[in-house]
Parts: sequence; structure tokens; C-alpha cells
Amino acid sequence: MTIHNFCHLPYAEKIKLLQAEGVYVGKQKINGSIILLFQIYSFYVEIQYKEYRKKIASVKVTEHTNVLNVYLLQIDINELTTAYK
Amino acid sequence: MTKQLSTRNVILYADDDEDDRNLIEEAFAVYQSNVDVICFVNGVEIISYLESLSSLEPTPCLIILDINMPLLDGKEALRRIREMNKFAEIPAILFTTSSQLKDKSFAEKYNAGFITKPIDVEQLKTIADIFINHCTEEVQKKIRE
Repeated sequence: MTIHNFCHLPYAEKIKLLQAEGVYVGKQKINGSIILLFQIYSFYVEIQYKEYRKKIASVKVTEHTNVLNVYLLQIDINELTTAYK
Repeated sequence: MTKQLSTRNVILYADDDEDDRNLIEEAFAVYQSNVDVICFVNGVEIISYLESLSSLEPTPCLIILDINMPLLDGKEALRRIREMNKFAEIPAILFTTSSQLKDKSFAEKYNAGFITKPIDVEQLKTIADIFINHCTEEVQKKIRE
């Protein structure tokens, strides 16, 4: 599945495929709106909600890894670093 | 831990994501006259609760575990629950953002269901019933009566 093929899928198919094959990367909140990032095949999909897990405001698809930056910053590595002290 | 006291059907749910905890409590609201959902924020909390459960308190009819949680994740919590004689057979579900085969296989190995977290409302509106379907037939009848 290419990013082009994915973008041309009907909405319901995109969601179904994302749930079946997508790998959850992280979550962020912007102005009260929740955004989930998934990795699927060789690209990334951001789901922005109007209402969390109920109403989707937008589905954004990208191949650029810089979409990861904001999610990677949230990873707490304290447990890992303290384990090696 | 948030707790709604009752002696009825008790479902335990551990998830570090507050939004998901709220969502699942809301999903069970339709069965609120028959079900109490007790929430925990990690695996340590739910194990401590089960270890301290007295014979006077109701045995949970279902345990729902998120996989990715701090301190003790859902898979390790499930493994420990299965080692506790009293809860070795209790219906349990790994409820997660993962759809990975290794996680599904882990759930199967420890006699638990595996449900991927819903992405939109179509999947969300049936989630409470999907959870309840994992309870024993007797409990399902009691909840749905």
C-alpha cells in the first residue's frame, strides 16, 4: 500500500485499515483538541479529533519523519536512565 | 484509583490514559444500573487492589488492561493475575492501541481477549457490548437484564 493508494481510500476503509494495521506512535493535545499519530506501512497518519475517539476533524497523511518530533519529546526515559545508574 | 462502590457486577479497568478511562466509563454508562467500573492508572495499582480484595467484596467479573502503562504494563499485570489462584480463570482483555501479532499471541497464551482501541465512533458505540461478551454467560445475562 502506497501513501497515494491510502489517500484515495474511502474514509471508512482508511479507519478500518488504520485500526487493523496501524502502529500507535503517540498522542498530543493542541488547544483542547486531541491528535493521535499512527505509523502504517512506510508513512504516518495523524488523526485530529473534534471529540476524542468519536468525531474526527481531520486525517493527515505524511511520509516526513519530522512529524514524529513532538511525540518523541513526550517519551519519558527516566525509567531507562535510572535503571542504568 | 477512582471507585464507584457497589456489590454488583464489577469490572476493573487499568489504563494510564485519562481520556481513555473517561471514555470507557462513559461507554459503560448504559449499563450503570448493573455494572460498576473501577479504574486504575497502572498495573501496580490493579494488582494491589486484587491482592487486598477481601472475601466480603465482589469478585470482579472482567479485567480490562491497557498494554502500555508505566510501572507495570498490562502484559506483565495479566501474567501476575494468572498466577493468583483466585483470579487465574477470571475473564480478562488486553485493550490496546497495538494490533501486533505478538501482543495477540500473548493474550491468547494467558487466556485473555484482545481488543484494539477504537479510532472512531462506529467502533466506540459497540465497545461496552464487546467487553461484556467476554464475561461468563451468567454475568452477561445479569448485566443485560
